[in-house]
Amino acid sequence: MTLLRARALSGGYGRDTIVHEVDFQVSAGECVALMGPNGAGKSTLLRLLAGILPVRSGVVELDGQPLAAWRRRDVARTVGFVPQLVNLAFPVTVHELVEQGRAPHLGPWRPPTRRDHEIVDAAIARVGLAARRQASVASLSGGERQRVLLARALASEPRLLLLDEPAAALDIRHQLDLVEIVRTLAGSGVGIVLIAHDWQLALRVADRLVVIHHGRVWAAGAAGEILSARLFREVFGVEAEFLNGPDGLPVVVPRLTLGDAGLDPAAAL
Amino acid sequence: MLCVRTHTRRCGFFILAVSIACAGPQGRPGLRDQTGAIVPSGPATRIISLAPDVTELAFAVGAGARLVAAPATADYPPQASHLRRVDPGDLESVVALRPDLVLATTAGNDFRFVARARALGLAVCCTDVTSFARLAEACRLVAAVVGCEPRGTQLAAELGARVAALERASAALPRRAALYVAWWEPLIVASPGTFHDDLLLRAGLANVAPGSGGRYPRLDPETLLDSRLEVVVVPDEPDMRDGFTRLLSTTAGSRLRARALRTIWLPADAANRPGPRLVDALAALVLAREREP
Amino acid sequence: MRRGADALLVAALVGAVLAALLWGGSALSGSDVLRVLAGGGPPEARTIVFGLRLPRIVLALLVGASLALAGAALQALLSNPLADPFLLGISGGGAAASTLAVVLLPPLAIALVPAAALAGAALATAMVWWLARGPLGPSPTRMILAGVAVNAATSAVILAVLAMASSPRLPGALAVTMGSFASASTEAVAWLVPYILLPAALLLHHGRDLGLLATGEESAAALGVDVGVVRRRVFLAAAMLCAGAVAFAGVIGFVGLVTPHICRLVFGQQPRRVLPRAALAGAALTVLGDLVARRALAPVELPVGVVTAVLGVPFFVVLLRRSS
Repeated sequence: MTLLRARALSGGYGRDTIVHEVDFQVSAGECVALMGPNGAGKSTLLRLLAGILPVRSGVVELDGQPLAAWRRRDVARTVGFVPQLVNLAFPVTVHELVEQGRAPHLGPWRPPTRRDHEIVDAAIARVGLAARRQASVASLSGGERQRVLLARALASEPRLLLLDEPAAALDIRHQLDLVEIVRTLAGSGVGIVLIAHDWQLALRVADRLVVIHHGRVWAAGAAGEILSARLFREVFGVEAEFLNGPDGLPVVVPRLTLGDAGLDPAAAL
Repeated sequence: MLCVRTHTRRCGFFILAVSIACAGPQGRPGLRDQTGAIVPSGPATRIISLAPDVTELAFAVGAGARLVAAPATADYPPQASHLRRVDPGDLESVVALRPDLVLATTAGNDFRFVARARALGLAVCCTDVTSFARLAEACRLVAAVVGCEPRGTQLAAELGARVAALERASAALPRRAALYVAWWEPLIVASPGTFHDDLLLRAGLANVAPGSGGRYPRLDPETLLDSRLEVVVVPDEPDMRDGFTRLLSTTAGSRLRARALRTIWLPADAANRPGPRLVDALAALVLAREREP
Repeated sequence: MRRGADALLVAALVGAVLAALLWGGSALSGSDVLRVLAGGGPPEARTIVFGLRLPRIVLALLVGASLALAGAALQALLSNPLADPFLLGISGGGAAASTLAVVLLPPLAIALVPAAALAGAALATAMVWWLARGPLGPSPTRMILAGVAVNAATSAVILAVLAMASSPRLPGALAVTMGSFASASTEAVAWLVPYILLPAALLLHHGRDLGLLATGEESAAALGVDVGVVRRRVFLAAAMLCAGAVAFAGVIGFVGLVTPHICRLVFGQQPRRVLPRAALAGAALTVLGDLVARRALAPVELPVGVVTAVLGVPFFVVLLRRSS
């Protein structure tokens, strides 16, 4: 069942159009990884899908209805967005930040109920930060902060979760934790779209990959369908080879070619 | 100087005599004061004055015995020094003294205070003396609100006669370009349309202050170096003397130093208070000019 | 601790009001005031208590609450702990218009001064909004920069007005720039109460939204906050509160800046919790400040802004050191 569908989607910041006519879809229980070089427009596309960036042309449909027809609150209850960073101009504790995730379910005057507190605590425990519940977010490491932001999105009990480079600062143990959380959520019917740079992580966590290049969809499909040397050469400018990993997933091995970049390896020594 | 002192003694005696004669009048009609506001009718048995000049006016029209409070600066006539002191900015103290009439002036009282006092239901009579003619009106006005009208008319007539005589005396003097200096640093002068300006005019001086910039505009100190300016008229008080001494040692004061610009010092209490003694200031000015035209 | 702090706050507010009522002026003693409150007392004492002191206290409460509420909301909105109703030039516009009106209007038109102040504040608000607009709407950084620019312009106007004011009008103009509750009256209070109800209610309504906005615009949008609408509403409501304060009491600094910080140190960061408590704390601080301003060097009245700074800043420093 398609959860989110975008047709001929274009958009950007200011006068620039960064995303051009992108078709995209994600189903319930499916995890899609957005890949692509820096500046390709992955973050922009994610924000367009989340409804937090206005669409220039094209349409984004959630549950078959265009986003514009949805009430803001209902979208917030359905879609969870995890940014990379949090603004810490004012100190805020882990618990307070994750509690913000309950906002779409609360009115402006209603305080959180017992159930809300339980959901918040469960989300904090899920990302392994129960011991740091009252800590100031500013005192956490980059990776811990990313986990708090994930917990906040989890607390809003979304049916669709959009994550902007959630693994960027995570150590390998917590990267695997993230994979586990995502797979479990997918298993319970939540649709997930995440931006990743690490191919091994993406291959582990995603059912489908979508490669964005210059704001357009360059390729979309399962790993087996789209992984090719041509992909890496044309999109990333990198020579790559593929091996079969011990768990059955392909392993991408880029070749270090200093000479191609115009650098003389002998002169570097 | 002798002339002025005798006059003052005569006035003082007169005031004393008349204040016994005009005791305890009851009502007054509703009147407009000199700012155009209505002073509601009513008794005037407990009067509070908020400035030295209206205090002197009150005594001059014979209502001195009915004053219950005056500001600390009200020191004339001598009986005024014995009055209870009130701060002209403290509305609570004024209300607490239960006045049925409050006398104020535009020369020194904050108009917002006057508005607030009126809003609380106090009867406030505000004078706005900008010339000797207005001073005469003020005498009649204050006399009317305290219920001593005949005395007011009489005082106005006396003052008018003295002013006319002094004007005649100064007619023979050469007309010189002058400024009335209210403050040295910054240089603040009296513009046309103020009672200080009328003081200069009746003494046969031409006020060269600009007409724009309000009643007491700030001027460039260079004005004192203008060769067309011949006389500055200054109130004689310690702050002004200090400022004058400091100015003498600067470039702006060079004409003052060289006596090319003549300084006439007037008794400060008479010159700065638009009350009955303003005529004494005029007399002093004319005298000084007669001595050295 | 939180519940105890709430009780302490209310006690401080009540204490400040009582102190100002009983000891606010030299003309009446505390027992005289109590007699008036009990229903007796001579008529002039009743005039003083109900016509002068009470309106002054209520005005100080309203102005203090407005400034603190506006400050707390702006700090959350702009994600900037130094945001202050004055940073955005709103009170500068109000003060500039006020000083011009005090200096230029004829004495009998004095009632128009608050109207002029509101017009000036509205103009400054419009200028800041217009200068700060960008393709995605006004961002916090642009708003602060625009506010600084407008503030500089209005400060220049105020200084020019002060320099050219004739001496009778100068004390009134200075009172605007330094803050004073001396012009309090029942009419002023009757006007101000309905005026601040709507913006105050609006700010309290958006308390949770402000907390979300403070941690990031995009995540706030994703959590259901209509960022553009909330920004506009909060900014306008804060501007209205600030304009009302300046119109009736002139420029009073520090209350809007320091009170929200003190409240955050005691009650936590969430705007939902902080906003109402900041309003109460601002009211208490301002009433106390006015009392000290009137009595400390009686009969000379100090500017209220000076006293609020002297009271508020050391308290803030102590709390800051204890919390680190």
